[in-house]
Amino acid sequence: MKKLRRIFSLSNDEAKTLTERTISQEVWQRYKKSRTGMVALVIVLLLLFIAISTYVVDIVTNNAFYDNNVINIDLINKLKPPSWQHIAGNDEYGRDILLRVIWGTRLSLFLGVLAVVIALIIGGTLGAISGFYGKQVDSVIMRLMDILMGVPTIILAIAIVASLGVSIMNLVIAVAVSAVPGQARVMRAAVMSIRDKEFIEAARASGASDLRLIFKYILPNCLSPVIVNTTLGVAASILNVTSLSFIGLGVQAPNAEWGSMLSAARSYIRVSGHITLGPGLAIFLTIMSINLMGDALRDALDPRLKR
Amino acid sequence: MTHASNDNTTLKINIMNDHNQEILKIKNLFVHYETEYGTVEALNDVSLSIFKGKTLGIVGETGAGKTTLAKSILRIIKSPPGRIVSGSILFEGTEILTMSDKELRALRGSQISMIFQDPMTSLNPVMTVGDQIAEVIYTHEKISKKDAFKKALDMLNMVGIRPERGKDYPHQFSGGMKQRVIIAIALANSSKILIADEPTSALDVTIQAQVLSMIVDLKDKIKTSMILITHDLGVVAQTCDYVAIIYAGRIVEYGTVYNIFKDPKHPYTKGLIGSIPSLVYDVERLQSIKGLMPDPTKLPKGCSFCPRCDMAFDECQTILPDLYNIDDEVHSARCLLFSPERIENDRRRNE
Repeated sequence: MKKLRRIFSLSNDEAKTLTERTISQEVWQRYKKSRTGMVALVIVLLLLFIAISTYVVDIVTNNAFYDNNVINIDLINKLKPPSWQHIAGNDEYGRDILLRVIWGTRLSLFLGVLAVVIALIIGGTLGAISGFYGKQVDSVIMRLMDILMGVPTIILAIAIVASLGVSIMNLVIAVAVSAVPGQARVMRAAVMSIRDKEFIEAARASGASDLRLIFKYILPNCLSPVIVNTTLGVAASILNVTSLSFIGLGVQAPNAEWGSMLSAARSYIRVSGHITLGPGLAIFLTIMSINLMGDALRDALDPRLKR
Repeated sequence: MTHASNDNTTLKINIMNDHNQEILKIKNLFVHYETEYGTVEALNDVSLSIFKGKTLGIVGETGAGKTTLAKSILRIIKSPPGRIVSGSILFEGTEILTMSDKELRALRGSQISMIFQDPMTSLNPVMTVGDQIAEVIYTHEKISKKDAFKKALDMLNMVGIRPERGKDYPHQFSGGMKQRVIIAIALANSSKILIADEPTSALDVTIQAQVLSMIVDLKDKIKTSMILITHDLGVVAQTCDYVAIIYAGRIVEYGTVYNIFKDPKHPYTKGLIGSIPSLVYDVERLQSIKGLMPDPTKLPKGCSFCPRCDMAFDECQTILPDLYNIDDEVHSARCLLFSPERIENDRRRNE
């Protein structure tokens, strides 16, 4: 804004009205109108805050808190129902479920996001190349994506983890690879819809190179479907990460992770059902709010709903 | 404007002067689109010249190949399906059709630029207009991004938009203003040739004249040549020096504006001129040319206008006419009525 004021020698207010009209701000204005979207956003921000603060606690206490309260074994409190001291109760080793759920947030959330970011980089690039150049390039890339898509996501992920070995990095790789075709398809479709627009032709007629066309003209115009797909993709990836952990191919106990907690809890579901409640609710809340956020974002980004 | 002069000798001298300053020469250009339904012969044997500082009008109905011609000059025809089959386009003596991609990029937007038909879709919706103008300057000149932006604001000022609006996005402008921005982009590098593809057809009638006169003023100011593609004969009469009438991918008549409006020769041109409402005479119904343009995948063997022509005779269906010179100057028409043999025959019959 300062720069603006300098260039045009405007008053404070004038510069403000000029900067206030950016596209992202318009989107935010529209997003704010969705009540469910706002609630979902608050929950997601809260989860992020929780995830980050667990790291802070670990660093400050030098992992002492984590060792003593999250992964310690306290058999006296084994399978205790919820009480004032342990709001969500204790699990089969007497650990506080609420704390484990809180510490599990960061793994589930960040692994999901990391997987989607990797998928977006790989799939997005492939999709953009495929959509922009078309013809044989498109056929080759998209047939490869079709092959990946032909295998059910979770089975593909299981196969990858099984062949690479069980580790957190391999878990991310598996989830990312299985999310690549989806990202590629969305990016390809978006690029193709923009590629033949007249302003691309006009830019080409004024001497723009292919790279400039892709990065300054096509990709910025593809952002909205890609943002929505990525947001929804995060939810799906978190679900995949927890699913893989549930069947024992992901995060291993005693590390707190919702999927593996749920998996351990399922054997006690008849004796003390409450221990499935914490991780179950956490997964439910996270996935739902990210999905709702994605929906609200789609509505906000869709120009057809522009008022 | 040269056509304002009715004096024949001045006209001739002007034309001779023009011919010494040929800036773009198109020779025997053939462009085809290969589709599933057959080959569309979009341009057949088109030869044209554009002279320094002059305006060439290209007139024709929808699908006649006007836009294809414009796009061939910049080589932005989508391929496939488009294909420049043969011919040559010389820009200041250099062949455009054999240029490398790099040479082409240097040419586009700096030597030859184009104004597109629809201002609503010709601007990048997610880039401010100032940035979009700065972009063309920055691409072609060794200049810092900041200076390019400053220059862009000057360009905005030149087309009559307040420079502080350079930070706005295209959707915040009206159609007429968007077209001005597009004109600013096209003229930002003082191109030698400006191709205007129906620059006013998508605009409101009330601002058509305004935008058009601005293009003409700026064109004179920057001393660029212009190719004006339109189907509006009034616009042509107002702004052009030379006119090419194009029909089914062929030039059917070429001449100065004076030639075309005062003395149209080809039956198609006559039909076009006859369809303009007159200010002087009252007419019950305007004349129209009956029928439709032939299917470009199966052009007739002879003259492509002959199925619609009142003056057609047997040979028209089998013989493809050349562009015959009407007089010593540039005026020529692609019609057998003006073939040397026929004129000779007529002369003999009269004797």
